[in-house]
Amino acid sequence: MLDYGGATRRASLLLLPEAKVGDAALVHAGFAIQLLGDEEAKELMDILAEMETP
Amino acid sequence: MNAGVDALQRAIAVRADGLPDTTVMEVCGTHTHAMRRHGIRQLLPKNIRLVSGPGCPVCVTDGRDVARALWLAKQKNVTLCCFGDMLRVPCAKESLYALAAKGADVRVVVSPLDALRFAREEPRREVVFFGAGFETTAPLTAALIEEAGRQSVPNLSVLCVHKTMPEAIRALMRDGARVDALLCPGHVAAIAGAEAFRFVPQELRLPAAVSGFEAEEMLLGLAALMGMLQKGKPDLINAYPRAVTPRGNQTALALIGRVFAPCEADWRGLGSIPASGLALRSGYANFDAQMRFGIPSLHVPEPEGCRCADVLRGLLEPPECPLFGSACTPQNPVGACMVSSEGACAAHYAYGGDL
Repeated sequence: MLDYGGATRRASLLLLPEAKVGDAALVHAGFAIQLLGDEEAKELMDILAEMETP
Repeated sequence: MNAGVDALQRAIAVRADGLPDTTVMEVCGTHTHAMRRHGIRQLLPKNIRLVSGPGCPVCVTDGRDVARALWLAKQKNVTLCCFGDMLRVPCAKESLYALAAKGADVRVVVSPLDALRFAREEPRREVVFFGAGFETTAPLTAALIEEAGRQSVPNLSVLCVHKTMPEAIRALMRDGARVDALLCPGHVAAIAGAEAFRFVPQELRLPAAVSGFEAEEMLLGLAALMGMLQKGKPDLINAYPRAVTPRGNQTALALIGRVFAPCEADWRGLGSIPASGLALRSGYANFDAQMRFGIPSLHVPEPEGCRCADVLRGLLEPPECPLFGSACTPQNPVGACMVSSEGACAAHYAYGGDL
């Protein structure tokens, strides 16, 4: 079961068997396809600077 | 303005300063839609042009493949399941939607597994799932087929027209597309891994950035591309680390490998491209709707005046098509790019004036 900002939907975990209760996941057409990390908490400019450091 | 957007816009301007006229192409239906919804092009410097390529799954589905789905939907006792944006794709003056109105059993599914449920609930009907889309949806169809095999559901089959992105990008560049950098699709990369796009800097010598779909995420990808263009060093940058890992979803990739083998595929706008499609492996041939029903090969003329093929190659902006907004609208689409919300024409129609 997933919480979409309040709405609750079912999604298959066939492609993401490692998902645990409490994880955030990217869902596409009824399937969880990838875990979502917490990089969004980082400042975008930090990410840009990091990307550009060879 | 959002502080993050503002800072990124400045970061792009600094990096793009002094560059010659530069074309960045995105190849993802969600980007096609999101860049217009967010008005991304209004935020770019004048020398940077962002164009849409063949990223909308419904749009690149060849007319002959849509015709095969229509043929199936017309067969007695067949239930045809598809994603919602395939319904209204015009095909020789017909569409799945029009057939449904005449009584054909066409059902929109959210998840491919819905088709398995229908097949189990109605064992006397032949349920066919029309599997279209890229690496993001291919594993879902593969999961459906493997589940149908595991549960021994005999009345389920798949009309498989799945495609993979790398060979299409190579074909587009071989055909001489004028592209200076590639914004790579985040959802495809969530499955295939960022490294699946390593060939873009290595073989094609173009900078590549995997990007997400929020305004900030797309701008972040564009800033990364500008940085590489400025340094003259094409590389691959993962600007969507929140959802994309270097090697992707191994469970999904293994599933694709078990169920499908690469095959030649027909693309609307790009023609036939070797090894750019996915066909069911021989072990799963009994789930192949093409073999089960012996669908005849059907020729479908492109609608007169339709320029979808040029739009899909990034050669034409939607309003440059003479049919755009007059003969061809989302209510009465002539070409596939006006149908799906991920089509360049439909997105331009909805959010127009972003150029």
